[in-house]
Amino acid sequence: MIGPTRSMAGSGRINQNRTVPDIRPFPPFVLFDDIQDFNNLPHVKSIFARVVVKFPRRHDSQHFILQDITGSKMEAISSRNNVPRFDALLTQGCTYTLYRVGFYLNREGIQFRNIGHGLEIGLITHTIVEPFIKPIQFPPFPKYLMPFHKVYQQPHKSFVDIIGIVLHLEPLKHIGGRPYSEAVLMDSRWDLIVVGVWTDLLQRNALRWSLARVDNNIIIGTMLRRNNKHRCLETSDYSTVHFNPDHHTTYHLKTIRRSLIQNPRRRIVDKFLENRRAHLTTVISD
Amino acid sequence: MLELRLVQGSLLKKVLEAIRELVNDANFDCSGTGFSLQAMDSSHVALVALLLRAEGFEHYRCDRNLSMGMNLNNMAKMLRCAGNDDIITIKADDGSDTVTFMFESPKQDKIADFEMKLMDIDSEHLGIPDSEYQAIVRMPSSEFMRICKDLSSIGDTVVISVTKEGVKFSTSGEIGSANIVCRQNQTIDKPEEATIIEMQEPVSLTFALRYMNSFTKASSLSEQVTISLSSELPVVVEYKIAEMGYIRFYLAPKIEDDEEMKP
Repeated sequence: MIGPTRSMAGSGRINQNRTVPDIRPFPPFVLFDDIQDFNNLPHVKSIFARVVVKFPRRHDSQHFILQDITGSKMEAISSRNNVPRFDALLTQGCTYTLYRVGFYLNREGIQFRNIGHGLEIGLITHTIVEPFIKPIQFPPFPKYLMPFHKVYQQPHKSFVDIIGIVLHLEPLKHIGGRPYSEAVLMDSRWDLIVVGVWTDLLQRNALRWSLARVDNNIIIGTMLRRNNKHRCLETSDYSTVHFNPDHHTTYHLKTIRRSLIQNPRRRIVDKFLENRRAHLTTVISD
Repeated sequence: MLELRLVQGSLLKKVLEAIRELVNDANFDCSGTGFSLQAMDSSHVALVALLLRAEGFEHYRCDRNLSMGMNLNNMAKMLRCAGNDDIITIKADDGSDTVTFMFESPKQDKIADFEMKLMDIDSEHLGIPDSEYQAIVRMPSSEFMRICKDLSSIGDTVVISVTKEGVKFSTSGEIGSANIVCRQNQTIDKPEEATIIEMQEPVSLTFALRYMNSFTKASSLSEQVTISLSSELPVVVEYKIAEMGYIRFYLAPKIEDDEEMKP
């Protein structure tokens, strides 16, 4: 647990939104995974966080995906009168010190939530936002990467982070005039999933994608959107793809990768794609 | 310790001129088998791989694997101080943060040494497994250079199509279009002027001419260039370096929107 801190005085416009006198003590700092007691919610805490995603504003709410200094993610929501304030204060990609945020039970059972988590953060009237100025590096990758069997259970249009070995890359095609390709990935449980890759991430990584298949690259994909209808994931405007990342979970995958290089097991991929095409046929006929 | 002595020093000069337009900084990896480099351009679209085998050097000593980060422009500046006929020796001590280039004139009446600071370069090493290509074209490097230069005055991209009739280079732009067809031409008395096509399957791919022109800077290294093509794989443009190695350029096919289908 990290103790509360104060930024330097006169940090500019951002402090003009302070609504609580300085003399009031701030709640203790926590990491997202520190909140384990789900029975006594809500908790009001302070956090350091990076805004991974700032979703478009709605008239009465706005959603953010925050990541703490361990790489753990949580969805944050501002609502009603607080929406304009946090829309102005928070920028995607920036890091902040946030005092007095509320931790609540996730309402994904009754309302759509972008990421699966037991909790969510409320950006409330008393929340204070300050720039993050500590010499602490935020991790480049998420802390948790979802295994594929759990990905298949996620709601349609929700976002997940994954890691897998590229086994196959479908030929490039154009959908709505935009280039699109599908990669088949395998996780450490030897489960397979299709990841559809759209224009920007194809063009930006054209060389890597073309080599990824023949060399069975390991990739981390973040903020990939679940498509239940087509039984796949797709890249989104918020997605990133990292090739051969330096991540603690790659050890087992590297062992599998070496095995696949020696014995490609093409039959596994062919069978998987055959089943998926059969599924898509039924979906299209509906 | 590392000590490499190359009698044909001009080869190293030509190599630097061939890649420095594409790559700013790179790690040169030295091992018992040779002197190599793999680096991507700044936009991560193209890749260059260089290998100079140990046997090609007059003297090759590499006590243990060594990686030397260098700014290629600075390295080229130093190598330009070498005469075209000079013998070039590269020296570096284990753990040193500098590398020394020694240039000896053929008669050894002049010896110069230049010391360059090394860099710490974080680089990603891409695996490039051997692949079977749908088509392989071998042709005079000067001809390929001329084709790329000519087409770039018309358009930004080149479509390389290989069929049993030959290899066609096509482009189009605001002022018009251009097509250049090279048919197979196996010259017995002048093998360096031959155009040889090995085709397993017809293939047609689009590439940015800007990069192709950069690749052709390596034409001075070899009279022949080999172009390997396969759908969905990077093109490989390869120039042999005498008997001691090669320089290979990899470029992914260009991914473009389908204008006709856009709403």
